[in-house]
Amino acid sequence: MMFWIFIFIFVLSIILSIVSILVKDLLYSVLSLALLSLIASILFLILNAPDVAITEAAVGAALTTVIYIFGIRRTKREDE
Amino acid sequence: MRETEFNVGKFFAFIFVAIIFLFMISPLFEEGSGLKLDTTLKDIKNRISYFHSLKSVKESERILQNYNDFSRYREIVDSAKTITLNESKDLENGSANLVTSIVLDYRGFDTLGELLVLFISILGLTIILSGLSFEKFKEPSFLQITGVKFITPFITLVSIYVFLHGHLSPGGGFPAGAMIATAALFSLIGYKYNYTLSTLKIIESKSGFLIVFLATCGLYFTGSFFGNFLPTGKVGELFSSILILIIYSLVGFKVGAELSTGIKTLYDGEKDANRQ
Repeated sequence: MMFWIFIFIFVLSIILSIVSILVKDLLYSVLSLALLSLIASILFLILNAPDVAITEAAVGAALTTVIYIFGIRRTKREDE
Repeated sequence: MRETEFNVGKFFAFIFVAIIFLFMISPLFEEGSGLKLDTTLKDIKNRISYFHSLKSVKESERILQNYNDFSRYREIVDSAKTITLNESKDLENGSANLVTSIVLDYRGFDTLGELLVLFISILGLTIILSGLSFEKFKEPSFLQITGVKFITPFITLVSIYVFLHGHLSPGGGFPAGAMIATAALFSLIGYKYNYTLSTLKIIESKSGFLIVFLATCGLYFTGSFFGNFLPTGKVGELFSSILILIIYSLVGFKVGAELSTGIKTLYDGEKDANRQ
């Protein structure tokens, strides 16, 4: 059971990182990165590292997303 | 037209991602072969970090220096006192969370370096952005304002809990500071009257000064930087290791003020009148 949960998390993280590279709309790219760090925090929680999980969820999913979205708002949304 | 071209960069990116994926899943299929931990190290009593978990590092260092060899290590391990929650008193370091006692006491200098790195990055961000001027964001809608006003006090409460219980439960100053910055962003959206950059500057500089001052007090009283010179009560109580409680609160304030400065600069995009 644990094995398949790990496989699911790995495949999902790989898919999300590929999506964040390939997608043309930069807002969707940033959102997929936020989802990726949320999944990483779940992985840390499974591996008995709650300190790292809390930090990853607070910094990766909330703050970097906000800063990226501000940057997109200040520049332009579409990739060329 | 450009989509149909063969893109070399994308091709190599796919190969790179595939190799990383293979590395990630390869440990799941291995059965005992490959790199292994030394079997004698599986028992934590054979490692030096056993003393970290028993919070008797200074005493064991003193004994090992007196005997001057590691052959008597086993005896020292067996003679060490075990720790029980809510009973053990006046230890070297009273925090129940082992990660906190290592991060903020035995490796406190490392945390000071992390704070310095964060400070320098926010300094660069504000220096670059202070020369530019953007148009302001649109006024937030009614729904945004109501939702944000509902959720901001709860986020602030959770962040205060996280840095006050940093020595008892997982968490600590850094995630609490990130949560404070999130609450600051929400308050920028939802509330009319808000904090200014000069307030944040005062909080950040005073808490940073106090952290270094307390660490230097430890150097004066105990002989080591970040040394624990305040009383450590029973393990597991709120006021059990007072120095770690104070320093983690200060770290939370400092990180929160720094990240809020970055967010405020990004959100306003105008030169603040209070900044010279």
